[in-house]
Amino acid sequence: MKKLLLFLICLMPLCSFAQVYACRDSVPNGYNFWLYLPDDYDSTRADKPVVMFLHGKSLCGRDLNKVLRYGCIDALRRGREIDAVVIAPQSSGAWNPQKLMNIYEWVQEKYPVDTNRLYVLGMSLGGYGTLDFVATYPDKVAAAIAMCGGATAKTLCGLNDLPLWIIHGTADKAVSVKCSDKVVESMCSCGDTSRLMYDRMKGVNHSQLARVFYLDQTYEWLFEHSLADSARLADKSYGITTSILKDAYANLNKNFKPNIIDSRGKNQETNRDKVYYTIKKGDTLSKIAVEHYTTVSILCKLNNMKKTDKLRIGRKIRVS
Amino acid sequence: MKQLAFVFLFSILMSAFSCSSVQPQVFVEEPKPETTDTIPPVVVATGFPDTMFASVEKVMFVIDTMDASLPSELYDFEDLYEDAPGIFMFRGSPSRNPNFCGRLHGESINISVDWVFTTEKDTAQTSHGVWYGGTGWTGQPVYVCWPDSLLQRFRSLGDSVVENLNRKEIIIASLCGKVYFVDLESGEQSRKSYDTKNVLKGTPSLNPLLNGHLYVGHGVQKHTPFGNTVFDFNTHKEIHAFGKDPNAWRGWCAYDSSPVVVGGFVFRPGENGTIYKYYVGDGGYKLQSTLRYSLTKSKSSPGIESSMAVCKNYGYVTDNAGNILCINLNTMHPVWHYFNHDDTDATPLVDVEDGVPYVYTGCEVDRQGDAGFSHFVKLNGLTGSVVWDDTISCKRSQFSDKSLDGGMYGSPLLGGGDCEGMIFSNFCINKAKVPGWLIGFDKADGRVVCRAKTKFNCWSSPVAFYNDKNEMFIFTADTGGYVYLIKGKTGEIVATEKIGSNFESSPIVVDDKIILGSRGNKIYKISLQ
Repeated sequence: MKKLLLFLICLMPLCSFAQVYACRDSVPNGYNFWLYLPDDYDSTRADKPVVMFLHGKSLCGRDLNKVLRYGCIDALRRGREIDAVVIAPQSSGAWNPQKLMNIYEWVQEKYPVDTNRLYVLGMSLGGYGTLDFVATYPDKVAAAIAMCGGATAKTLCGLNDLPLWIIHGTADKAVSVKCSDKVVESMCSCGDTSRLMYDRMKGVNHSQLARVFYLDQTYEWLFEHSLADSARLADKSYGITTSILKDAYANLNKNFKPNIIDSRGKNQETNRDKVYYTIKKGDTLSKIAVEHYTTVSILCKLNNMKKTDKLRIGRKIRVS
Repeated sequence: MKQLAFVFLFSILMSAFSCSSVQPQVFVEEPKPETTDTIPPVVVATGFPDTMFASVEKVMFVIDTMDASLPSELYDFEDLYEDAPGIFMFRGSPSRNPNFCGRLHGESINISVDWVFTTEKDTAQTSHGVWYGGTGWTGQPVYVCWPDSLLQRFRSLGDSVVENLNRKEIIIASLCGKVYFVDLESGEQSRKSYDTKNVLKGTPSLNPLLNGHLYVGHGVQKHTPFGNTVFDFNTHKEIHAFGKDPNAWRGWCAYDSSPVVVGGFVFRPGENGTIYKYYVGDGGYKLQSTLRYSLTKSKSSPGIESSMAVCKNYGYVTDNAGNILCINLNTMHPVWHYFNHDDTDATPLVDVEDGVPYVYTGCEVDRQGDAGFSHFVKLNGLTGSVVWDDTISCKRSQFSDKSLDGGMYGSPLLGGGDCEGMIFSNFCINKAKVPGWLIGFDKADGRVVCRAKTKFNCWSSPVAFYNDKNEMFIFTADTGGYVYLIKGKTGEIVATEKIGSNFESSPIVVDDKIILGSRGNKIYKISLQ
């Protein structure tokens, strides 16, 4: 009975405003996931693309709310309008391409979408998940962005078949840039890499790349591509720089607030988990902000403090 | 044994090239070596080797030697434009990277107009519509600062020139069919205009040897002869007119290309698919030879609208079928061929790195349909091999009465100052959110470093300014009449202004001021203060 209720909640009729639903135990052999439907989603038109966001290791587990900490759903919450159906699953460990495909097919069945436009993006463990998924299903994914990860799939030649943007910081201590280098080497050994865009960002660390999810250009680039394009070429008019990352939270629409509804019927906006961090020696606001995928301004706002305030070791500050 | 036989065949082939003959020599089936990709080179004493790569095999070409008494080899590879007192042709230099730039002074930038010169407008109907006046594509003005000796001579030309002719003149080939001569400082006409009687779209070219010859190409026919002419400043008269070429493999004999002078010859590609090599020694202007080529089995040529870029004895041309061809200017035979996917009208740029020339150019979205990709490529200029190929998604823009192709029309610009190692180009994106991008690329790998969105698409080529800190700024203009000053390193638009209506033409920079023509019958001198 409980499961049926959860299932029905996930299939709630659409209202005229954007909604994010928590879908738990909905897909056999799948993951729990957040599902975002834009306010103008029309099931009869099936014209919306699908964006699948794959998180990193820090968000793994059974608490789906963790997935709201950074990434596409958080970008929506902060005002980045994404004109697509967004799927944000949660894994408890390494991503399984088959499980992800099961979710996509479930969504496709329940919510008709443009099947020529499935896009996948992820970072860290999600970067691995992205490349493994795309290498397994290169003919299903229109374009993908894999950040600060690598790949474990047996063969990576499928990656050469689609527009793929790999981004990795050279100062990444969590996952070495060599992991992406290896992927690119494998792709080169497969032949034509003309659809690949590879940015080795000098001096950029692991968590800085989380800002890519908040950039308008991230989604613009993805949406430039479609399986309907016979040549499936990558639009290489896009680039990524540290100054672009710096302004990632600019130009967000403060009036855009999708309603977040979890499977227990609670509105997440009124019951959003508060995450705290205990200040350690050597911490700065900017360091804490980067490590928690947020900004100094947001930290100051959350903790009613100024940028110039001294940090006391041992004090807890809210980071989300 | 096979190799020996091949060397023998090749020797015969090369001796055929060196023969003086007015008879066409058709080489359709080149022997293909079995052990190597290239035909063994015959090294020219100086300059790049006389090589034909396997990529040329599919090119059917004919070289006609028109006057066997004339020399055929370039006498040197000196850049005659480097010390020329002015900007004598499209982009000013044989490499087609501008040999001019401006300095910015002060912190805040204010864009203002110093003078406006208004051309006549011709409302006559042609086979391609009404063209009015002003300048079109590429329509770059030419600038010259005459030396004393010539200035004195010109001042004695009577009523052809104004009474106190100044040494600094701007030369404008207008869509109305007239070539105008304008005083740089005042914006007033300095000489009587030269009426070619045909629509002029391209950029004229002034001989850098200062013999007073101006090479003008017609764009759209109104009268006969329709082709190209030479105007002589010494007599203020047209001294040469070349109309329809009966030997050409394409009927449309427009000449938008801006001729280039190198090693004693003028190289003039035509939209009739022929590349003309004129000898200019001792004040003459004589046709030495021609090259015609086709990528089909029939004698049907693509048309060349771009200007030839030159590095030593290699010339690079692009055409409206998407071919990029490297030609040995000594022998006129193709060295390599590269197919760039679609109509490539943008003039290529050649840049030498560690002694190797690299060619940059991009195509339009034309034959691909209403949407596709502009392929902005970096090619090894010696071999034609691809270093990188950046695919830029573009659309064709649709209007009620016509459609305009997307992609690249302007010529690229090399970065300098704090943008060393970059290359910039305009792209007509033609999408609802993005009419046009000026994109800065890393020359090494083609990675996008920065970009700036323009209000309308840009056919115009960008030019460079530098401030006191040696930071590069890019000036460009769009088809909506806006001009922009953009920080090269970041793509930030630091100043913009609506000046005129539809800048298809490319600008020049003289004494830190910009001269730019528009389709709205007006030519502007613009200041950045």
